[in-house]
Amino acid sequence: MRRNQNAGGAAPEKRAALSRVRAIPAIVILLLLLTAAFLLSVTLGRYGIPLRQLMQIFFGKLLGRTPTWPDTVEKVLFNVRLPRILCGMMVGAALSGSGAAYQGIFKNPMVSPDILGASAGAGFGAALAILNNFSILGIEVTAFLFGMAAVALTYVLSSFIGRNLNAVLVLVLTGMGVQSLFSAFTSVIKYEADPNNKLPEITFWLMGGLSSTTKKQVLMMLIPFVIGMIPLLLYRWQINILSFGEEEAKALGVDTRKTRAVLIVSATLLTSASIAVSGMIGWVGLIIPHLARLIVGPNYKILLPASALMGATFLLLVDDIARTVLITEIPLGILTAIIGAPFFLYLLYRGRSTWE
Amino acid sequence: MKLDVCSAVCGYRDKVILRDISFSVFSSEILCLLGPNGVGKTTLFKTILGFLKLKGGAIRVDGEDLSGWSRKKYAQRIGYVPQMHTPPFPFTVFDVVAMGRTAHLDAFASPSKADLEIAEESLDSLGITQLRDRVYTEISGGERQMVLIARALAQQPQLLVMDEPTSNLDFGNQLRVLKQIRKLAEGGMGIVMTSHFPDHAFLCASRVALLSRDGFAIGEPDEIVTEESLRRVYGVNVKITATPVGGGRYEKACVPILS
Amino acid sequence: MKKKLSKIPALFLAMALSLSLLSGCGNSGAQSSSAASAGAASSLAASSSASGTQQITDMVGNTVTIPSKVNKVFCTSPIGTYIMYTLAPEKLLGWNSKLSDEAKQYISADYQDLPVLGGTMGGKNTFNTEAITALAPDMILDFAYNKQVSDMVTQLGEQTGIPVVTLDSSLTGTPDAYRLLGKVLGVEDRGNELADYAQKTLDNIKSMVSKVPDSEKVKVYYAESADGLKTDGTDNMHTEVINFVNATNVVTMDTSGSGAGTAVSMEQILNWNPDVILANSAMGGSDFASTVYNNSTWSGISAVQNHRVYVPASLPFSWFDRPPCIARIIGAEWLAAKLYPDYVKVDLTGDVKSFYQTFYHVDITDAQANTLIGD
Repeated sequence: MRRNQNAGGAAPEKRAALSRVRAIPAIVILLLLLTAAFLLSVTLGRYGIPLRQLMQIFFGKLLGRTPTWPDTVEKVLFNVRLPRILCGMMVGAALSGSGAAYQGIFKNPMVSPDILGASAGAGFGAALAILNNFSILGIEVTAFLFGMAAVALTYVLSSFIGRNLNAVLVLVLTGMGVQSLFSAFTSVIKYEADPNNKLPEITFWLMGGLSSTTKKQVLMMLIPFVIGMIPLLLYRWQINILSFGEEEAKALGVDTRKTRAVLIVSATLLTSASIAVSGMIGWVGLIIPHLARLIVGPNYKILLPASALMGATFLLLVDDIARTVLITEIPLGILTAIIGAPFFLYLLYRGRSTWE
Repeated sequence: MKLDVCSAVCGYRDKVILRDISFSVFSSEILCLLGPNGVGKTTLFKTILGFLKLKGGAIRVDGEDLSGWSRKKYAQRIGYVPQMHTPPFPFTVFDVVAMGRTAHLDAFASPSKADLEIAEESLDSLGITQLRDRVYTEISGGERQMVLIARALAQQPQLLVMDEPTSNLDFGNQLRVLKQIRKLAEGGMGIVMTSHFPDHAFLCASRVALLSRDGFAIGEPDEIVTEESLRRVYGVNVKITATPVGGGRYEKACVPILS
Repeated sequence: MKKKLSKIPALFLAMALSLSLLSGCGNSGAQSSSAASAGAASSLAASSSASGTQQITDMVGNTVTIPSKVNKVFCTSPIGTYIMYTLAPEKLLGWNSKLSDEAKQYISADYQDLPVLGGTMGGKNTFNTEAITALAPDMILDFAYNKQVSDMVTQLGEQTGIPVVTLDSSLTGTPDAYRLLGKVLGVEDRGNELADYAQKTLDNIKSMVSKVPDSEKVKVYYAESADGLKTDGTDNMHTEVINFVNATNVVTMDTSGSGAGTAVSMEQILNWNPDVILANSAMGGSDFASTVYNNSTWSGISAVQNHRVYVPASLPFSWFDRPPCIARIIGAEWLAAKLYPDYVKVDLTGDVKSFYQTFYHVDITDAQANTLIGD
């Protein structure tokens, strides 16, 4: 047997140490990218704020000076622009992180966070709330609750349907059924809705966007974001194991039912909260994890934080386009689809070998 | 280490497949499970691994009953080498082997420096260090099987359950894997392996369990694998030969009679 | 339509044809000879029961043949329905959607319970072609903006064989629409009465607002949602009134592509800093108007600081938009007075009462008129 002989010629200890070091630069680079995108986004907006004034305000606030800048500018910055940027980052990170997690749980890189019915449920909840004249807050809370309820329904139904069968497969199929169900209900609501006011409002909501983001939305998003993101990050190593399949994961020491449950609840929290605050934004949860995997590899230890960071950056930049290029807003869901779909096809072409 | 299977009744939710199975496996032993398709080899080892609930009887490791063990505890004592398959993501070989350390990690941890060193050593001991940075999904079947064994080794269990470790392998790789299995047993590992080939029993098993529709027979390979038992269980005619291989040793083999 | 036929089906077809020829007599339906008509419907029917037909050229240039005496008219959208209600309610086939209880207070009891037939608005409010055919109106009345005729309506005409008359829905086209419709329906006097009233009012407003110098032109933002972030651009059937009263719609983009309005960002609105905000009550505007004064993000805007957020009245029909109907006659006067109080001197209360009397046949009190006018 050849001991200690390999291409590098180093001892096992040294090679192990090298593995850990390689992981760090990718995350650092992505963090820097996000920071750059953030700073860029702060300077962009239809209400032009000169860079000098931005700096004035920033340092002024930091050092507690009395304002020498117009009140409106401060309002634009702190009531409109910053909340929107923060929400955009959180939604992007939430969708990408949960997308990555789902891809691991369901052992399939083509999976998106909608797979268990969260978006269809949330969309239905929002439509229902709009039809019944709920306030903006009411609409968001209803959307969130129905998103969670749809996934809970999928989970309960699937445990009922397939006790010995492949747990993951049954989840997927049940999820499809629940999705269709809620989509159908939403169509009924759209059919019933008054075409003069309710229907356009529902349509707008479903199209997705961050245009009505205020400080309230940031708060509404922050709590589920933190509660959902933490377990995802804590369990990310175990996602690697889950991706090998139920039995192998068990044999390697993972409590698959518990881990899967925690991951699904966390991912659903993230997805539902995102949809409640920004409507249906597709593609982010599917292509960002995929892209991240191509860049940093499939190890969830790096992949999960990388997906979240890339997702935040991506959505931030896309929303910048949505809110600055034209006088009117370009619906965010449409932009992510226009950018996402061709990009996805390109990834399919480039990355064939990664899943054959 | 001693694995005791006592009057085990194994099966699925509504169906019993095996009844009253009893045997023991010790460290440094290789128990080969033989039998035709559908007779219950898979059911048996899945029950040992805890994937299926025991319907009756008991399974113990060093006297301790397995039922009620957490998955983590299970994994620390018993390792599993599945048949080679294709996972959905392109992990590197090193990553795959490092995953073997999961049983020894805290809930939210990922492998520490020490864990990674164990993974490196695991690769070393099987002589596949050169595969370390290759993508697992891109290497050959034989290489993948070796990686799965390395992963199980990194887990540092006391017992290994291997599911048909030589299926999908070419002739050369089959023999290399069998040689490896023998080496592991020599190093102290207890091994339970299922196989479709009675020859494997001769090549590396210290004991053989032959499962058939009529029952369960366990004993030394010479006792259990006979022309008569193979005809009864598999319904085929074979002749068992002993060939001198030098040094006063003989290797037995099954020669099928097709005509 | 030529087909390759074998003998037996051909015989069958001949029998069917002759039978239908015989039964075809007595069908009063006549055809529209508009450009798109393909004669798929009752070309075999003879118009023997009609005492006569008239040929008219509608406002999109189609020559349409309709009965000399029109008894019942189906209107494809509320724009037509409302104009019919003011002109000749007895000829109205039905409403497009259910009337609200508040609206009914301004509608004559005789017509409140006409059947609800649906229209071109979509969803469950779409008309049912067979139901319309069964009710056999003499004419279909449609309104188009910028001569853009809806395919849905053309198809309805072809399928039912009922002639489709299309009029111009623009605000300035209202007098002409009344005159033509009055002639067609045989209620010329009434038609002219309303046309003259409309013309006079519009001319009056026009002359007053044309005196406003460019430097004093008011910037208007039209909010069509509860959050205030949905709107419509300039030169658009929804925002016509703004341009008519010589004000500027801050949304200088043409958004007519979207029927449901377009979204704008809060930053953009702050950038525009409109002098006046109009909020459509049909689209959640009342919610917007009641909350906007407490909203710190909007507080810096000129319109909010000067308390110039207005919700146009909508009873029984909207004075401004959704739908953009004949009530805009009084709506335009109202808006002009709100925007340019120094230039537009009118007795708004009196004019509102007079409008409701003349057009809707309801007498309202000063208090009711002032409620409609708002503050």
